[in-house]
Amino acid sequence: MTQRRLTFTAGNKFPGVATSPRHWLRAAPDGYTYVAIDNEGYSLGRYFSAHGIMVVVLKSRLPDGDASKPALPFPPQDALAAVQLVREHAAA
Amino acid sequence: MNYAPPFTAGALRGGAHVHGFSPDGKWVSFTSEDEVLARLDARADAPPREPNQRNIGVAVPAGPVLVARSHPRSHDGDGFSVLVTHTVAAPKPGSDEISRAFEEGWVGREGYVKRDGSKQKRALAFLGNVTTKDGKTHAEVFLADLADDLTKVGAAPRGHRNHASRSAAWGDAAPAYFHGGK
Repeated sequence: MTQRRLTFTAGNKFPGVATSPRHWLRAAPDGYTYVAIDNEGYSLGRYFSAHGIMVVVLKSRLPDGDASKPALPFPPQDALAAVQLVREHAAA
Repeated sequence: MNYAPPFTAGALRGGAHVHGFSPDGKWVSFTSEDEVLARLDARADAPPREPNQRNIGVAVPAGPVLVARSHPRSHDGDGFSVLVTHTVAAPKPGSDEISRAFEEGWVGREGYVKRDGSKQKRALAFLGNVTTKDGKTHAEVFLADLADDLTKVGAAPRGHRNHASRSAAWGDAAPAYFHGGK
């Protein structure tokens, strides 16, 4: 049995886990059939924002309405784009 | 479960929590705390404190493990349980030593491939609390490579050495306490 360390947060060498809340990207859950952004997106965002956690609510595209086409890739594409956007605009 | 001597290889001495199956469904990981050490720590006349430390354990299908009925809550187990992390009471500042291991997860469906191309069959990623050079505590990510056969005796947990010396300090009181006496 060996145990080795993978992350070294000091000095941002190889940062590991956050010690304080970071951004939370919240994709409004929709079951891939509709967007529930009010109750499960904005309202959660307001709640956690009031508690000091920045929430980014993602309103993503739904899959193509044609059921014969694959459900992906629109929602994960939008999610990845949102992650990239948040990271680009995050404070160092 | 083995709350009093004679202690048995493969039997835990305290609570286990947050169990997670390995991807093949055969092994189970968990966090564990040693009830015997915790009770020793809690005594008013305890020697210099060695806090009970949360560790990560694994149960493998190599049972049954049969224990002596030396405590009302000692009981046999179907799996062979072993701790797979090393912790110390007071990590050296700036070192890789940890005082607590927690939040583990199995790595890969069939382990992972090391840089040298060899395959590690089973491994657990987990968080460990380190101490920074200025004395602060925070969690870092660690990796524990598991031996294929966890029932073989390996390196003793680092705390074990201290435990032995403390047993000497306890003298006759230790076995009496272990058996539920005062």
